[in-house]
Amino acid sequence: MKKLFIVLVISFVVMQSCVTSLQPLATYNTAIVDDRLAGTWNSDGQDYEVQKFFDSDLFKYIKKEMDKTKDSIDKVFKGNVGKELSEKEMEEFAPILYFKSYVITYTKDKIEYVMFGSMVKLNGQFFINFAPIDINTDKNKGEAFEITSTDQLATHTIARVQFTNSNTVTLDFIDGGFLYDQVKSGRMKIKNERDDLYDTFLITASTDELQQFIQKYGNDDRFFNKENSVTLIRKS
Amino acid sequence: MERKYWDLNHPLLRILQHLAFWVLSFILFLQLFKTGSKPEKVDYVYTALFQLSLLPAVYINLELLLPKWGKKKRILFYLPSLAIIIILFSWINYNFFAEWSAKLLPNYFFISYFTFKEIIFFFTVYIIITSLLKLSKSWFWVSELEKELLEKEKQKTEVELKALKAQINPHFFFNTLNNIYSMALDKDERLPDTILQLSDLMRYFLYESKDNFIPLEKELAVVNNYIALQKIRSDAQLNIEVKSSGHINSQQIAPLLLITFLENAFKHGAKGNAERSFIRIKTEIEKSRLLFSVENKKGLVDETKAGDHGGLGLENIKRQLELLYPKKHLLTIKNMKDNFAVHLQLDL
Repeated sequence: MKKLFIVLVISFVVMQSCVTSLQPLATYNTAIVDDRLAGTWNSDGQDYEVQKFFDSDLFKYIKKEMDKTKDSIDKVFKGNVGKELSEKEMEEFAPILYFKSYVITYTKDKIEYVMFGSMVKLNGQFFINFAPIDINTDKNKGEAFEITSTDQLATHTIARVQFTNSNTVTLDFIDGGFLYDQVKSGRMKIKNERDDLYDTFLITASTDELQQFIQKYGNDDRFFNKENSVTLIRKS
Repeated sequence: MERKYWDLNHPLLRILQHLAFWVLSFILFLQLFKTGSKPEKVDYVYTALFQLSLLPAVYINLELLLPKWGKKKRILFYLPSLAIIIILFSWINYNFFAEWSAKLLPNYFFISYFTFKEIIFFFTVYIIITSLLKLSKSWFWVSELEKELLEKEKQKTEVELKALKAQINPHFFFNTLNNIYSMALDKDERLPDTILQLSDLMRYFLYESKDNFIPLEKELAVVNNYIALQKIRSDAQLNIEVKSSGHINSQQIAPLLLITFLENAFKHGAKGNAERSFIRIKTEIEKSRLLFSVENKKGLVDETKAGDHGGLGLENIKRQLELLYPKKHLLTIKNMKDNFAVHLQLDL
């Protein structure tokens, strides 16, 4: 419970001015994995580890845990792990979005934060959808995922991805404040839930509607607050 | 003709009807499209714009396509044209909300919440509903027109009948007055009775023949009166036979029908054929049927012009029968070498 509280607080503090959505922006069918994003990045002295899901420590951990049981991951997915699945195979294995996602890890104040990043290309631009998975402290390292194993719903934060060059990437987070103002003034038509007590809101629109919104307004600078932008410099 | 305000097709009322329809439609859409529990400003704008994209498609269909090609034979033109209109305006609707509105309305943020296929379906349903409304309104209008037409037809028939009756009277009175004039010159003692009979006939013509139908009894009484009058003016050699049978109840008949036949017989058959001239009048009354026949010997001297044997009078009576007894009468006219016969069968 304590850890959950920490997650909520951190989510609120870090993503305070970002928009949160109940649904992800990407789906398995629309998600893309771009090698340019994988690697170790630094922003303002903070390191971020970005790994493709099947190359990630998280996947290795899941695989190791599953191999201990009779349902090994290769057995379940019939050797298709890490491959692009055909429509027929997708029906058979019901793949989840995170197979085509990144695992992003960073450590701050001795707490390790793990999240998924799912990228999608809309109207010629890349967008990434972040969803928290886990937080690890020295005490709980190696335990089941804190967030996904509780009944807490993971929300999603969306940012525009701009590859300046092979070593620099800029993330422009969608300005939650702007969206909230538009919703409050009755100028934006998007499904949402508002909490007037805490003056917060959550977008509850479907993935398809989110994609349409991003496709239409992805070039509108009013949607992105430059103060929320993060520039990542490749370390390795 | 000036239209009344409550007339369904009065221009003002039509505008109000259309306005009412679109307002109702707007309210319905607003409830369907609203994002939260109550509509926001953007919901009003979105709904109004959505409805605006429907307007041209609906009115092109109602005002152009449906009147021009909506008939059965033109359905092959109508359906493809309608399909083009639906697809075109659905495409405009989709693109407006998905893209164009970002530039046209930069301070309102919305997307197309329906797929292109869904919009086509939506437009199709809306076009069908508005077409049905238009057709049902037209149906009411046609039925109103039919009623009006029937009323006009009735009025026209009345006028025509009056005109036909008006043609009979002068004929008859002219002939009889001529006759009375002759009797006066001869100081005929039958003159007072004749004038009295004429007076009775005039009353009948002037006052009682205005109705479309009168009691058969009255018409037959007038017929007898008329025969009596004609007997006075006819040659002594003219043999007039009158036979009647059957029982009169409450049957009704169009006034002056029978007299016209008699008038015709006396006019054409009573002159100049002294030795053999005759007029046979026969009336048979069954339950609801009247059989009336008049046969006369053709006169050597006709009171009318040659070749006009009963022309005007009989044509007049044929028209009256068509108007008053459609499919309920049988008129047979036999114009033989020496004789002329008319047989009338009437379903009363």
